[in-house]
Amino acid sequence: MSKLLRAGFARLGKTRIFWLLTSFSAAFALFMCVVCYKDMKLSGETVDVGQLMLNYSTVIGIVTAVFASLYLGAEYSDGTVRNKITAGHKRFDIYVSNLTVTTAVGLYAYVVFITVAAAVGIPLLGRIIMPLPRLFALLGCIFASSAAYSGIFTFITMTVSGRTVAAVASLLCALALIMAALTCINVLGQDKEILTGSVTDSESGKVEWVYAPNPRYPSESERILYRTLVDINPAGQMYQLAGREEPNLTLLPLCALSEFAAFTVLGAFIFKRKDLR
Amino acid sequence: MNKLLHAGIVRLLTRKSLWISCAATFLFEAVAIVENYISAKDIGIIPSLDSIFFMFMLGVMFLVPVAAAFFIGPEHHDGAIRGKLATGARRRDVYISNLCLSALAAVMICASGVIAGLAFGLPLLGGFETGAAKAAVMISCAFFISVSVAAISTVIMMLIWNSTVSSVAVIVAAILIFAVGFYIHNRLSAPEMTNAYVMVVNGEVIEPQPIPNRNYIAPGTLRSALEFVDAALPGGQLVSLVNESVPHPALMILYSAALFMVVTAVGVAVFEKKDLR
Repeated sequence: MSKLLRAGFARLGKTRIFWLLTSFSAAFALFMCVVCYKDMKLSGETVDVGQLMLNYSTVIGIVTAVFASLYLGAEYSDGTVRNKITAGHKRFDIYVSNLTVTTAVGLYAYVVFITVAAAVGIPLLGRIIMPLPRLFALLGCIFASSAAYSGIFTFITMTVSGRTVAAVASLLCALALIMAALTCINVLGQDKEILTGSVTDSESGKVEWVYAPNPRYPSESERILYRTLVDINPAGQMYQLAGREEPNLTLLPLCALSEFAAFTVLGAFIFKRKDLR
Repeated sequence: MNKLLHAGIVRLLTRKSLWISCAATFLFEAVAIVENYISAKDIGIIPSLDSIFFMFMLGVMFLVPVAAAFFIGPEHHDGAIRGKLATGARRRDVYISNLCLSALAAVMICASGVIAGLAFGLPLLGGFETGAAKAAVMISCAFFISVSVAAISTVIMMLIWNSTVSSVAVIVAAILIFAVGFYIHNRLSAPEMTNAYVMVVNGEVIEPQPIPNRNYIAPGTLRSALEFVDAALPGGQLVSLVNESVPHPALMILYSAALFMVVTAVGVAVFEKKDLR
């Protein structure tokens, strides 16, 4: 296992996708800093660098999907997986070592983002306003959700036959998770009452504003359903942690780590019986 | 060329990915219309078909690249392109035949959305408020956008030799085009004045007063440049179509056609000189 891990991490530095991912994470942090700086200049409002550091969480799913499909996909197409089995490595070890590399790279990409955001953001935008213990707790939860993403995409890439199919499936899965999360958050964010205006005097155009019940407000059972869907979806977890909603910092990492464990067990089980051709 | 097209059509129509993409677009549009109808019925105001009809274009934006990835990807992988060249087909013909087939796939996927929109929208939401003629022009715009997305997908698929890398690149490109289009369209749509605050004093709602919008981009070089990008790229065109904000449909068709020609010219020129290994 340690040999597989050492080989996996040694190969990382030689792959273009790893450096592309590093550059993208750094460039995205720079872009966010510049956009926030322009907004700050325009509006005069203070920007919290801590909040800025949380924003990459909404994108990291797609980044992890791209990396897993290209890096692990190459293992299949180059026959590396077969070679590892021929060399006497257990299938479980191969799966776990690939999962470890994918998870580590997901976390590494986030650390690159945070580092650049702090290095450029603090001199440009000011200090971190958010209390540091809360920022670290949120980042810890983001890392757990990032691990859940890695678990899902490693599962897809290692179990789906056909490298291109696995790559497309991973990316579409990342997009579907994001769209599902946004839909659920949108439903949960509906106000119980909405302000409606009606013209009371057509000549003067006077409008009377009254609060009326919002027909789109979900019922209690619907709220529980949508809340559960947001909490178990890694994209939903990320949107909550990025500040779209007040996150539950105990439940979210628990959900994320459970998913990580469930996908690993299922993936290792399927991979053990898979016809590698 | 005829032989290439004939063989390609036979192969295209047997691809499961094409039929799954068509079915997914049909389903997406049908669900969007039915869901909107059910929600609107609760409020008592049935929306016009125009406001929801082009939702299927969100699916088209991502499913046309997927169909192209599964159709052109195996051509590289299985050595079909080299085989075609070995039998005397010219590189330009190989490129254009694949482009025509991708465009055909795009038209089929777009048509699935249009059929679903008409089949569910007309009985549930009634006809188009803007009239049949205007709706026909808008539907033509949707087909042109789909074909220009197919042209972009084809150039990526034909120029990147590795089928997995090209499949990932084509979907990431679709995500970027959509994200940039969405961002620019939102920035351009920001009004000069906004009713930002609604005040409630002693339970009485005070009518909102317009205030200058700090996100408004004033006329000038930046606005002109953003307007051009918004009008010329499929991302902005798609958002305009979904938001019913297409002041000049003829211009949109012209831009789509121009993009198609430019992308194809560049693609053919590079493919002519490409080392096919």
